[in-house]
Amino acid sequence: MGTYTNTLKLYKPVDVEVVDVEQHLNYNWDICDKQFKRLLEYEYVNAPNPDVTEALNASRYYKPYSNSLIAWLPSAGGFWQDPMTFVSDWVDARFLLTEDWNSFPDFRICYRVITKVGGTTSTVEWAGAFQSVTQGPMGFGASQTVIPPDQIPVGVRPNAAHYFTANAGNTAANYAFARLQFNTNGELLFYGYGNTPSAGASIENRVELTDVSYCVEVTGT
Amino acid sequence: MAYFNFTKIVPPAPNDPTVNEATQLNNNWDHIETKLTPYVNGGSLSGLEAGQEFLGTPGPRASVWNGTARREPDDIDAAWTAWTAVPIISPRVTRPGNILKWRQNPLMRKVELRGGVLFDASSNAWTLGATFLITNDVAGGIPGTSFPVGGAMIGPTPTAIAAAPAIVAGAYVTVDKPVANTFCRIRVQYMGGPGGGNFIALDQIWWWY
Repeated sequence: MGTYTNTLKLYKPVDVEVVDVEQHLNYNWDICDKQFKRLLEYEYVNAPNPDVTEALNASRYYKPYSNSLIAWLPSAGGFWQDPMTFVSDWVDARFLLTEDWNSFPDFRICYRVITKVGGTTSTVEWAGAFQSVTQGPMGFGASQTVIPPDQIPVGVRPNAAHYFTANAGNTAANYAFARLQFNTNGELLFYGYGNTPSAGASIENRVELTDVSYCVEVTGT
Repeated sequence: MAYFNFTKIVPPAPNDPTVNEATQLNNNWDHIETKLTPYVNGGSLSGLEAGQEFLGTPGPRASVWNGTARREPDDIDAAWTAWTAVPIISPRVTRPGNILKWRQNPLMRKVELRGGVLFDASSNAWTLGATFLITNDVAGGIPGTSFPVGGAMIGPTPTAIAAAPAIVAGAYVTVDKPVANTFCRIRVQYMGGPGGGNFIALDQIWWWY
């Protein structure tokens, strides 16, 4: 009877042993193949909360998404995200909306926080789209509250008001767009410009938060 | 470069009917074990060669052994400069409470702006379609080492309008090189409707350099 290596449990036959190709060679190669695979390939997932069960069982590090960062590492039987490259999961923000607004179907509004432990430059990124709860015209020409004060959590609110131009769509010929205003009190205001979009469930009848991001810490003074 | 040089392989002689377990199998299994263990368990420095990645401690973080010391990835967060006010060319003024600032990150090679500008100290209306100089080759500005890649960046940016109803109110921002080539030039073109707007925000303006 031979011995096994400590970590990978590769079998090492003794010198008087007849080598069995299947048990002494091929099984070891399979173990190596599984380990090397994680080093050479990305673990590509689309899910915002990827299932890392398999990775945990194998006790290997884990590369979510298609970037080249090693973001998840095994630690003490669990998985641990490198605090220097920390990106939070997407947080569902649908429940922050007032009763007048809905998250657009299949394009929920959400945000994530990019920061590091002890860091001072947290960045918040938003995604998704919202529309009138009636799918009707969005009431252009007046400031409207999409997320009421105090709803955006502390730490996700900016320290000074931030403004963005966003696509507001239109099924008619006339162009429409929106100004979004994230305030220090945790509210999101919307001001539409252009012609009132046509009513309906068209993807043109929505306001997109795509590409909206801001640094939390910067002040206005 | 990753090192997985299987230096311990002893090639069998031609037509060699037997396998030497120690030299032709087990030494290689030990070698693979040594090389892979730092990735699997983390924290082990034994057997590392220069250039090899491993999961170091504390952490573990992904590190590289340079032959004598552990080398960690650069700290992108710490590479951001402080937010600094952009010098504004008169009669344009920065907006109180939303001072126009910039910062850059040399690792990401990215510049970010935030804040807004007023037409003048009295918040008079911007002129539709006209282009206004916000900053130019001014000491204390965004240095020329951070010019937008390709030489210029043009992007849309929001405005706040003083009076409703508005038809359309928006603006375009152009960032490029001034003649003197020392600091970045920023201009805005106001695309608002009648009545004008009281400030132009540059919060969503950023570029790679």
